Amino acid sequence: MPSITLKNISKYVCQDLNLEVLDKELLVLLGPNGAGKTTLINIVAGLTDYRGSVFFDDVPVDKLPANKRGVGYLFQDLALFPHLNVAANIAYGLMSQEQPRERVDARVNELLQMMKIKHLSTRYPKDLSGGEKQRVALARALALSPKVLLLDEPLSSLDVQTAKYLRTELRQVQRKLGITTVYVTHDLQEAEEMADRIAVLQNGHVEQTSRPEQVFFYPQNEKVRDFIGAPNILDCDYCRSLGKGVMEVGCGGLPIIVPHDGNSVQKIAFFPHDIYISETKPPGPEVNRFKGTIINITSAHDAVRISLKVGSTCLLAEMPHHMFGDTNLAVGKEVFLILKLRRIRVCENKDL
Amino acid sequence: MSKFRKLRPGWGVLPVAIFLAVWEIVARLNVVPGQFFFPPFSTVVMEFYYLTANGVLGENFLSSLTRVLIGFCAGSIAGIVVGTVMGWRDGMNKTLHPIISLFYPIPALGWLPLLMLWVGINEMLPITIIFICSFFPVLYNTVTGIRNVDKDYIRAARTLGASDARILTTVVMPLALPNIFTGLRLQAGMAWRVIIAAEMVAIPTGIGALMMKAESLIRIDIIIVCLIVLAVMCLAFEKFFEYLEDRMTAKWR
Amino acid sequence: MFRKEIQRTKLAKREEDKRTNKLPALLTMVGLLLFIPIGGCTEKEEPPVGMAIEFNDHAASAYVAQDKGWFEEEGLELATFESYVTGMALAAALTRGDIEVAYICLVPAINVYANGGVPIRIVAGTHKYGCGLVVNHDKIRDIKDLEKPDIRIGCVREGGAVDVLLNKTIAKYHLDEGKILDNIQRMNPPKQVVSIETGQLDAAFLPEHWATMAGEFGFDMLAQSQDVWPGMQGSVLVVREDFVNNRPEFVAKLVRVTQKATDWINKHPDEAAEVMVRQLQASGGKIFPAEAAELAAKLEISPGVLLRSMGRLEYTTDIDPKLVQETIDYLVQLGYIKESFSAEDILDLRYLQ
Repeated sequence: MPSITLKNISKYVCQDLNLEVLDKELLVLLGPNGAGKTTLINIVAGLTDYRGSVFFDDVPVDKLPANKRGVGYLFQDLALFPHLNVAANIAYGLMSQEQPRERVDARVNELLQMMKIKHLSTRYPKDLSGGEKQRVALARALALSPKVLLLDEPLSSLDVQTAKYLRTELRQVQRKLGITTVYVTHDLQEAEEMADRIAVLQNGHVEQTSRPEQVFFYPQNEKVRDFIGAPNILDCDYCRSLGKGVMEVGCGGLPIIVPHDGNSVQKIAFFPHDIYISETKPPGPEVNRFKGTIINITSAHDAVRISLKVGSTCLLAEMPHHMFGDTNLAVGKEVFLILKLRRIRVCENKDL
Repeated sequence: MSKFRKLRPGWGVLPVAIFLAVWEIVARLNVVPGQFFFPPFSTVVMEFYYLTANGVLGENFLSSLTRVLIGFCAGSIAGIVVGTVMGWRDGMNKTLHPIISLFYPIPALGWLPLLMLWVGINEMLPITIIFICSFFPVLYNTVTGIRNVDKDYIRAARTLGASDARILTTVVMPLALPNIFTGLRLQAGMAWRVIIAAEMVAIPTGIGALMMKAESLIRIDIIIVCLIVLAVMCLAFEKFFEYLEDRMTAKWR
Repeated sequence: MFRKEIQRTKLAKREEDKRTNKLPALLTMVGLLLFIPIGGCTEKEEPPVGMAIEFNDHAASAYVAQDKGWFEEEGLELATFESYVTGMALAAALTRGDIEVAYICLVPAINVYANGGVPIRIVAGTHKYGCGLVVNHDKIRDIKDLEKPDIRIGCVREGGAVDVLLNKTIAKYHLDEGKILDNIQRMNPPKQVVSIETGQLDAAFLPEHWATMAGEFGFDMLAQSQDVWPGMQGSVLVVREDFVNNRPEFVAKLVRVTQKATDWINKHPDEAAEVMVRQLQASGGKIFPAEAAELAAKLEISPGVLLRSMGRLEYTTDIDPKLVQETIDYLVQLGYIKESFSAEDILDLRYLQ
């Protein structure tokens, strides 16, 4: 399978963009709406004109139209042909290549089996569930054994459970077939689950291309950090196993219990909204409970951001406006904090 | 409840039956002055029988039907072809749209005086009127249908290796069919309304000509027979295209 | 359908006279009412009547009577005096009840009675004959030439006297009905004359005066109604049946005026032609809108044309019931009316002297 190289790509918001997708890799393009993610994969597919060059394995494909690039594409709305049944949808690419009928039928059957949708072969898209449509769209995209697979937020319209299940399936198929894949999403969790590497895009510019844990624990700049949710990232001075799947790590003098049982931990991280603040001592076991002082309160459009000093460590917490309004929190006040155990992420030494 | 369900198929027929009964009674009671000015339904039925038995109705009906079929088919095919070109190619659309927009608002019958001079008073006159009546609306519906096809379908087909021609025939045209059928269905009925008016102008045969002949002979019963034939044919043509559309698109719409 | 409103000057004058005389009349009536018992002394007022005629010289007696004021002299008050280009259009108006008295061709009158179910009575004739076949002599030398496929023949719609003449011509000369009818283009007389002038017709069956007018554009008369239909009854004077029953004096006066006008036409043909020119142009001037001035100019009628045209008619109030019956039976044969009836049912000739 080829690698994909984009050099000096300019189109819409993307200006002089460079990006490389490694052979057999699943690269996730992560970014907010309007960052240029869909534009980029359309450029790879040849569906839009552009300035710059696209290479598949160092071979320029700029002059190749979309129907000659050998790319499989899964659209955001799937774009299943409504007037063709499932089998005909999957067979469409093969029929366009004028392949013999027997080969077409054999390949369609193979894909129906692979996607476990043989029982749906005569149904029409209007009679399929969201998850079923996804499988059909994937089968159709894979029918011509493409060298490159492009997926544009394919799971965004599905419910959480179905999306989670299909993510796993997609990953398995991609790994099994070893297709160089570019996956577009704006969801960090999805990116972390799917990606070999993540390319964070902001305003048509690639801010960082790294492994998921590197993006999370080592955001290269404020833009990346803000996009991923501005987590509190703490270096660990020590760590010791407590058994039962938990460890104690020391971060700036704070002993924090983390859900990990394995190699030593270099960093931990947790999101501001995963810090619980109370004016009085909360009941319950003394796990991850600290006292701190409010040093700053900022009101953002989506929440109130509260900066806290806990020992020698500065933490950023977040509280919805309506909850903040019911409190008497003010700068200088002493408060109690709880760090939600299961929400703490761990970065092992080996991950870096 | 089940009683009402049983009645349901008959519900469509019942209002018509009531209407016909009221017509018969009102005419027989001579509420409208001049019996033959408003003949009873039974008189109309009898006249329908006579006209059918002596071949007059059949002959005139066939003349009208032939003109409608030729004009409508030619106009629709031309409309679909030109509409496809305009819908598929943006350049053609930009070139032809201003010209089409100029001609489209002219009612089909508005062309009659001009065509009487250009074409003459012969078979081609009503056929040409029907052609015009069918061409523009079918063209517009075709253009709309094609341009309304979601671009993602076209992109998907491209990524699957299809050529432009294949995309047009296997994706775009089938998806544009509902719009095209809407145009065909509406114009099929309109063609009959227009042919009647066109035949009233010095054309010796056809339902319209028969109506004019009946008017000058003060045969209201024959006029009503012709109107009923017209109504039935409008409905039949519209239903035919409805059926065809259903056959071709119901599975996936 | 072409209409002519009642000549306003004469009506207006009559209205004015009425108004100026109203006050004394009113006072007199009040006085009479006070001093004379009401029962039976005041005369019932007759309502005015709607009259219609054909826009051609078939209705010459009506036009002359109107021009000379003879209707008013007899105390016949007309609410309207309307012209119609064809007898069929007039027949439709009679059927609708728009008019009560009509000078109309016999054939559409029979249609009104038999098909329209309108209870009318024919109380007098107006003329005999008055139709003809005019042809382009370069293309048509003989009546058989009408069968040629490239020949275009004009004729009014079915149900008119001229259309019946067409059928009579086919029968008399043993022409191929199918070929002839294929060549027929149905249109009203003025349109036929314009079509002749612009070369769009090669022949035309026309009523007078249109047939003679076609001669002005180079068409020759190939056959007249006298040749094809001996004794042909032209137009007739019809009234609604209730007039005969309820207003016999009105009908008698109407017939008397028609007879007087007919006699005058026969005695003063030149003056009659001038009257007709005046009356037809007065109607025609209102018929054609300003945009069709050129068309109107083409259809201007000269006294010479009218004189020649009127010479082709036989103006008489006589009617032969046998010929009326023949016409009724012929219309049944043509399929224009469903079943025959006795001519006596439609005729009431007691008012003819």
